[in-house]
Formats: sequence, structure tokens, C-alpha cells
Amino acid sequence: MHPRRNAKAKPSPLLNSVDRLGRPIDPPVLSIAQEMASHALALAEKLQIDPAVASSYLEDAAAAVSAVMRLKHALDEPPVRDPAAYLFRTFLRMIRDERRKASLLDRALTGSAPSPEQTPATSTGSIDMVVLLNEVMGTYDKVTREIVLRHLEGLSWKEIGERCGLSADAVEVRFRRAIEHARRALKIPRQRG
Amino acid sequence: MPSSRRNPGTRKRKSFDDKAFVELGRKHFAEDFPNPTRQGCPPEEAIRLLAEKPLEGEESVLDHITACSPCYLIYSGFLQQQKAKPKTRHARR
Repeated sequence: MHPRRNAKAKPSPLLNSVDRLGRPIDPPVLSIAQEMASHALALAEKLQIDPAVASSYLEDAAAAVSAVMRLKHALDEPPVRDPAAYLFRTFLRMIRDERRKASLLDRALTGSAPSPEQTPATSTGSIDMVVLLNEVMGTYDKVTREIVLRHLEGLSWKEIGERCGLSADAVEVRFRRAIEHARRALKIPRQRG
Repeated sequence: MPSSRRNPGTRKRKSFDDKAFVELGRKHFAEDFPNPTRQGCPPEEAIRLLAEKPLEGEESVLDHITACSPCYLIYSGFLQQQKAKPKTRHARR
């Protein structure tokens, strides 16, 4: 059971069994999406994405995950290791793209930089970072993920290395490589300054 | 013996906004996965083991703490204890 689909602060909106394009969502994936809906939508709201829009993105993500799982099954490939985490990451990427589009549109309409009231927590760059972080935590090996979490908690490379059986340099290289690789995979632009 | 303190500026890479990443990342894991009913939470001992001996801790526990803010905060607490421990070379005599 995956905790991402367990938080139930609000009643979950009822999701459809097909997405906006009519692509089917398989029942197991729909069930996972339904369970994570309230939490996913609350997170999207925090990122200033309309809940109705976020809900349709969750359906889109569920349809995409269903298609991948069906394809893997048909090709006799190993199944998705954690469908809930995969669905969550796909959803995050979609709302990231939605936020990015909204930001570009805003800029095109106003002919200016992002508005001053746009807080760091809701800026496109911050969403990129959340997406990137979840990508790293969802796809990398255990030691790399441990390194990332320990770095977030302010431990030095040396302190991390001592616990993980690596040198300080090896820890830092591993961290940088993982972030850079994920950044490229997600086509996230480099941060400025 | 000269101080072994490292200049914190020497290792910075300009391509990545590390400070913002750390702040946002920590906040994300600490707040964005409330899990109020604490479903699927592992025992605290398993979180402690992961924090203290990452090579021995279970991967499922690691998966869980990145998707459950209460457990992440417990894990964070254990890591902070590690950070606060004085290093042996500078230990009081």
C-alpha cells in the first residue's frame, strides 16, 4: 500500500474511467488515482492549479500510466515497480507543464516578467524542483536517495559519506549526477544565480 | 593542529541553486504528504535504523518516508541528532 494514496484530508472527487481524450483508465490504476486524488489535488491547489484542471490532469496521468502498464504486459517486460509513485510523478509533471504554460501565457499577455505576487512557493522554478525531486526519489537507487534526503537535512558530504560507506567526494558527485541527469531528462532549465 | 574547518564556498557549483533546492525539498517532504490516518507507517525503530545505518535500513521504509510527512519528520529528527553529535576529534575531555 502506498501512502501517497492514503492521505484523506478532504473527500476525494470522483474520477472518470476515461480521460479527456477518451483513453481508458484501467480499474487498478483508477483505484490508485481515486485514493490519491484528495492529496494530489490539495498539492496542486497549493501550486495554484485549479482543482478541476488538476483533476483532469490526474485522469490524464492515470490513462497514460494504464497505457504504459498494458504495453509492458503485452511486451512481456517487467511491470512498473510502484504504480502509485509512477502515477504521482506523471501527475506532477503534467501540472508542472500546465503551470509553465500559464506562466508563458501570462508573460505573453502582459509582456513582462512573472508578477511580483508570485511567491517562491508557487513559481514555475519551484514546481520544477518539486518535480525533479520526486523524479530522483522515484527512479534512483537507495543510496542515492539516501544521499539526497541527508543533503536536504543539512548533513555535510563527509557526514553522509561516513554513514553510506563512501568518500565525501563520491557522495557529492553522486548527488550532482543524479540531479543533473534528472534535470536533463525532465528538460528543466538550469537555475540562474 | 590547524583547524579542519572547510571553506563552505569552495564546493559550490554555479549551475544549481542548491540552497533553494534544499529549502524547498525539505518543506515538500515535511509538509506535502500529511497522511493523517498514518496508514502504512513503519515502526519508529525501522526509521531509526534507516537513519543510523542507511545500508541496513529497508528500501520500503525509504519509499514510505518520501511519501509520508509525519514519518519524514521522525527520520529528520534522527538525522538532526547525528548532525548535533560532536565529532570524536573535537570531543570534550
